[in-house]
Amino acid sequence: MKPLEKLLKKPGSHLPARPAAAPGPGQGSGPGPRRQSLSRSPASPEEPAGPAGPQPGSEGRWLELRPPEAPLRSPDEPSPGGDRDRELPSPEPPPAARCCCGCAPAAPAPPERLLAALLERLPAGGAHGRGCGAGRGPSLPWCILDGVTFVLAAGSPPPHWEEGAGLRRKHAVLAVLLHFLETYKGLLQEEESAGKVIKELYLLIMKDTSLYHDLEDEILKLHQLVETVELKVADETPPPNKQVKPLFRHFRRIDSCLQTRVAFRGSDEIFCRVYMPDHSYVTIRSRLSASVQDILASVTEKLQYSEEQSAREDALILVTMASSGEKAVLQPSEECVFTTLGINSHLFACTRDTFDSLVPLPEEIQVVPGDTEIHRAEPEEIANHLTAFHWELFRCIHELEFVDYVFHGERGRRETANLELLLQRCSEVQHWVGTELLLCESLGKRAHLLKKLIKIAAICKQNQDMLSFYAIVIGLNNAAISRLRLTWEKLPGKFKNLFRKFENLTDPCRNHKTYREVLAKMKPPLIPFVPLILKDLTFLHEGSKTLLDGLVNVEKLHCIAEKVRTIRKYRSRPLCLELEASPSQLQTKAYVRQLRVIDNQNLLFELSYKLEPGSQ
Amino acid sequence: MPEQSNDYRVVVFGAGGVGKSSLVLRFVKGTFRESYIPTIEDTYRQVISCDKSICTLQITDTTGSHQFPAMQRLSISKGHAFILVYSITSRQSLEELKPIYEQICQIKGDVENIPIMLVGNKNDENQNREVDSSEGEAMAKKWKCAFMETSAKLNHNVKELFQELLNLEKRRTVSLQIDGKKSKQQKRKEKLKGKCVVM
Ligand SMILES: Nc1nc2c(ncn2[C@@H]2O[C@H](COP(=O)(O)OP(=O)(O)O)[C@@H](O)[C@H]2O)c(=O)[nH]1
Ligand SMILES: [Mg+2]
Repeated sequence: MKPLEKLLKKPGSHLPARPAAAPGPGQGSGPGPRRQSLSRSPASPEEPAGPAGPQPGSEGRWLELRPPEAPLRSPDEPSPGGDRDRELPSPEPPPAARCCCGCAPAAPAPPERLLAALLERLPAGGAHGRGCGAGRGPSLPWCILDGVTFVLAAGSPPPHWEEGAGLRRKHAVLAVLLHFLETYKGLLQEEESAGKVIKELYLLIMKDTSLYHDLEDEILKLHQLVETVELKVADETPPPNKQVKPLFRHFRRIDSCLQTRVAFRGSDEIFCRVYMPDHSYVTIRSRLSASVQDILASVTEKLQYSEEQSAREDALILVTMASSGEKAVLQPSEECVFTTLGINSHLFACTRDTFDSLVPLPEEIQVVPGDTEIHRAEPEEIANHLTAFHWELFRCIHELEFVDYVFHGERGRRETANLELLLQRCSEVQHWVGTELLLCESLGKRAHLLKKLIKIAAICKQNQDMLSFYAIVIGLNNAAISRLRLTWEKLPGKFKNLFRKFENLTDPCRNHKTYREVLAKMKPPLIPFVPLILKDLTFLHEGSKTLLDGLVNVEKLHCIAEKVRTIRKYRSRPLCLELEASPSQLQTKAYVRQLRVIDNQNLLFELSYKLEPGSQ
Repeated sequence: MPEQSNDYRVVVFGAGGVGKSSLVLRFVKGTFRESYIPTIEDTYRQVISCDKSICTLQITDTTGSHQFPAMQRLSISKGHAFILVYSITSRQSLEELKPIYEQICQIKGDVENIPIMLVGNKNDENQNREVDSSEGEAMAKKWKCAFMETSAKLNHNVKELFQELLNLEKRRTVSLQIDGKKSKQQKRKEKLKGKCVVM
């Protein structure tokens, strides 16, 4: 298993007892850990024998999650939020009761009391008026995001307009509502029930406006927010037709790849190829959030399977297959599968009895070494385009996607497409590094490219793009690359030292201490190594229960909210790089945005052995 | 691993709704449906014979709309033979083939050596005919390609369409018959039956 995957293992999967293998035919992936967007490396039996395989010593190197049973408030544990916001206004609480967010710890409480307390703590008057518009202003108490997290976690509806409350109370409720809308924004379009509650609330408030002239400002703001969210409040018609921004999976499109990325929502459309056992394919157009069942229905319709045929035993099943041939059956109820597929994975529709005979598509990349853009472009250009693209992808992720990714299962299925696309990209960059190096036949050229890649990593780090930086370093640490002794020997001493420093910076020891320290010194804007944030969140989530005997574990939610706030901080300033629009720059941009990679570890090893048979 | 270079790729173009998918599905699966499901891009594979050995016939069914020009260019550059479909019930659909034909010329250059078949589909709907078969023939003559009228609905001339297209390939011998032993006579007979005119 690759380091990044270990780092990213989903809830529960770090327990040694859990079988790691992908489910076989018929079993499906069930409710177990979610498929990673990262492509998997082959299971150990398929790995080439000998020294080339991942060293057993490095096993678990990345997996330094504290044991799940460790209590959150344990004072001697290092805070997982080491990179936390030092500018938080709240005073440092005594260490014994310290929560990672630095808030005064709150005792567990039943949901209703919590809500009341939340409203109590809100300042009276219009203090929050300005804060809400910006959403980030310090005038809003920090607990609100926690409140939202809580609402999320407990799965209960957002706060209700309460009877008998005074003006102050109404202010408070409005503040919560405004903040809620501000936080959710477009996501609400995807959530029918939440939209309904808000709609109700909004109508109630509108009925009351004449009574409370003091609330005018808030109500106006609410009006605007509800409008931007495109919740059709006045009538019952569904939201207006959204602009279609189809995601082309496996369609390489120069025209669309050069455009700035915008966030994907579940209702957006995706064009995706679904293959048959003989590698025929149909392209289906579906909602990003479509269930496996929906996808199969489209395929069946296209292929004109008669109803009688699909009702019989030989109904179609949907299978994901990686380039290595690894395959897994998807369950009919699974949703949003497109963004969780591995880089070079494909969807196959077949009957149960043809499952065993499925073979992967031929490797898309020509193993014929040809000079790709990386040999032509300057390292600065490539690094800057990497940073610019990853910033776009990072910005597309809604804060709540981070929460939903880890709370997955405890709440209903939510869409985390943008986060998944970023993780997919992260894995893509890792494989890109290896692919490019292994496609260089001559030793001199390879060593030159290695030097260039280290330079690119250095510039990414300078750009405060720790995502690209990490991905490149991990990519160079791939066993198929690190075994190329001759290549590494040709690297100038200066670069050897530089790379050693990079390895040190990405060393996961002591819970990624070095990296966290470097990150803490950076001022926004910055792109963090997102997988580590997910690891921290997973740890927080698994470390304790959200609800215990009907009481909400407020401390846990505070901590999660605090972690999410660090992400907000990273993005609080726009990242601007000076990129020319010359034709050669556009060429580099297009290259960086649609990397062609080999994600089949076996093939990478094969190429590596061909280049340097005797290495190591 | 299927050998990519060994594939023989046929691409079907034409306006939306003229019956491209119906022709392809009729040929590949033997089915026909009345309902219309817009296509984005589908590719079906079939084993055929090529120069006395086996190869794969790839039939790519495309979208009728001009939503994805880049995809269209890619299919043209990768295609070996082309089927240009219009509906005999729509003059407009014949007009819409012109830019596609021009693009094929532009990308492929010398089109005379490339098998292209102009197809007037839906010839079961004679009562709604807008394009006379002589007009189709004239167009084909101008384009130096072959011409045929078909009906996917009645399964008229469908298999013949694909067989004739492959017969136009002069650079290799491609045939739907895997044993490749179809007699010349048989072919001629089919040609007559199918009222196929090779210009
Ligand atoms: N009468 C008649 N209708 C046809 C024929 N071929 C297709 N159709 C109908 O025309 C419509 C569009 O067909 P389709 O194959 O999806 O068109 P495409 O957009 O070119 O792929 C469908 O409703 C078909 O049932 C035909 O040969 N005769
Ligand atoms: Mg069609």
